[in-house]
Amino acid sequence: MNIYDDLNSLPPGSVVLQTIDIGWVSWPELGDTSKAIFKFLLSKNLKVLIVDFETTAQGTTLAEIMFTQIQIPADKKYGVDYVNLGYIPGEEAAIAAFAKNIRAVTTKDARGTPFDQLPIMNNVNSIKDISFVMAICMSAGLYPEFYIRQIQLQYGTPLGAAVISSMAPPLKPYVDAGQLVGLMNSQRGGAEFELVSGFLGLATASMDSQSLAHAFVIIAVIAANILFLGRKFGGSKK
Amino acid sequence: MTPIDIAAGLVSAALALMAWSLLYKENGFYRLGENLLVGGTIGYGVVLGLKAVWSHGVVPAMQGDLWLGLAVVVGLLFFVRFFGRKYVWYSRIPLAVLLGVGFGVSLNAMIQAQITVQLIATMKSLFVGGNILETINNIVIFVGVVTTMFYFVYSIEHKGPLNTVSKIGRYVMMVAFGGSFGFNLLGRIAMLVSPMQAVVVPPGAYLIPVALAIMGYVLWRDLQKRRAAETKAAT
Repeated sequence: MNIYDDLNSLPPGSVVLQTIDIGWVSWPELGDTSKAIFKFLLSKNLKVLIVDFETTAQGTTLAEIMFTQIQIPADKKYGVDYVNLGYIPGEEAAIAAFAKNIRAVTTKDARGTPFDQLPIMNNVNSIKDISFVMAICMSAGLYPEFYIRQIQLQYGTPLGAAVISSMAPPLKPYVDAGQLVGLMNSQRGGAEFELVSGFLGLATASMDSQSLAHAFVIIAVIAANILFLGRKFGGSKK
Repeated sequence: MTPIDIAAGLVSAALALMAWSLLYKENGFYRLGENLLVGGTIGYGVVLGLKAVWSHGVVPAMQGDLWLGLAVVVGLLFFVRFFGRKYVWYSRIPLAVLLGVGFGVSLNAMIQAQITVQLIATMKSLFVGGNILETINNIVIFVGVVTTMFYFVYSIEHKGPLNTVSKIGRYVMMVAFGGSFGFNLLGRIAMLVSPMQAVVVPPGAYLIPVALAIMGYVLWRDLQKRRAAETKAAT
């Protein structure tokens, strides 16, 4: 998995931007993925900036919920090793401005703490100080493309994406073109990441029920087709 | 587990059960859950939106950043339309600014990221020496791109061999749509499995007997109603 390999090869102390551009409705699909990535980043001694550009602004609260739901190692401190920069309005224009100069769009974190009181922000001024962007997005196609256009294309910063299932197929060409390092598809992507990173969680646990449900759907599709063909060639008028 | 965790687990499970109750039929519990979600989401969005305008616009403006103050004033022009029809045109100013900035920021990058780079990525050598799988992959991409694009060429009549090309394009699209459907299904199942985790483990699991009791009562009541209607119709 390219995202894992890239994140794993970053030197300790590197800064990673993890966006949580998702809302309540997509949390079941991407919540476990967000947690797995965040836990892995902390375990690699990387500095994590969490930010939300999505207009429903729910990602900022979901990030705080995520902090309470996972066991953050005692030596990892908020403001030193990770920070929630909160919701930044303005969508693509805000992403472009953020990439150019973070302090031009916000000077406080989601909890209202000024950047000068957050050690993690000491040497982070623009996207040039960030080694990897992990975009976790729900809006149909929009947000990964915003990051591709305003970050990957303009600054060459490696970009990975984790998206809801319905968004994954249209984004595949960006992986093939090298614009995305990798693409994580819904809970399945989360399960794969949990597996390679060693932080097994609910995404992996959900895969049995996922497989069972898919088996049921496949059997239903085959049965419906047999029924359809039987009626078609069996002479039934119904 | 703290009392807040227990309450959160119960509320989460109750809302999931309310949503799933639609599988039987439209009912009060479903509507309550739906209204809670919509109301909560809108309320949350309004508060967060106002907070964002305050912290990113109003406060910096009061501290002397007049450009941001101007942006807030221009944004407020959206609401001038509520003061009468003759003021409606004022709301076109922020709309024009919004569209102008949006186009300005995205257009150039869009052409590069979504057209130029994608075109270059599609122009691959068909035959890759020593790698049969990549060769097949590149041929499939080439055939898929050309035939799908041809499907949308309406200036030539699709007859004879051209009809075959067009048909292949249609099949390529059908395969792509089938793939999309499969991915969608994956997401929908995740939507089911994840809330299920809140329902099947305590404290959410304690609501299952309650839900079963309500469901049993509703089924019994509906059966009584149907029987009464049948008796009435028979007499």
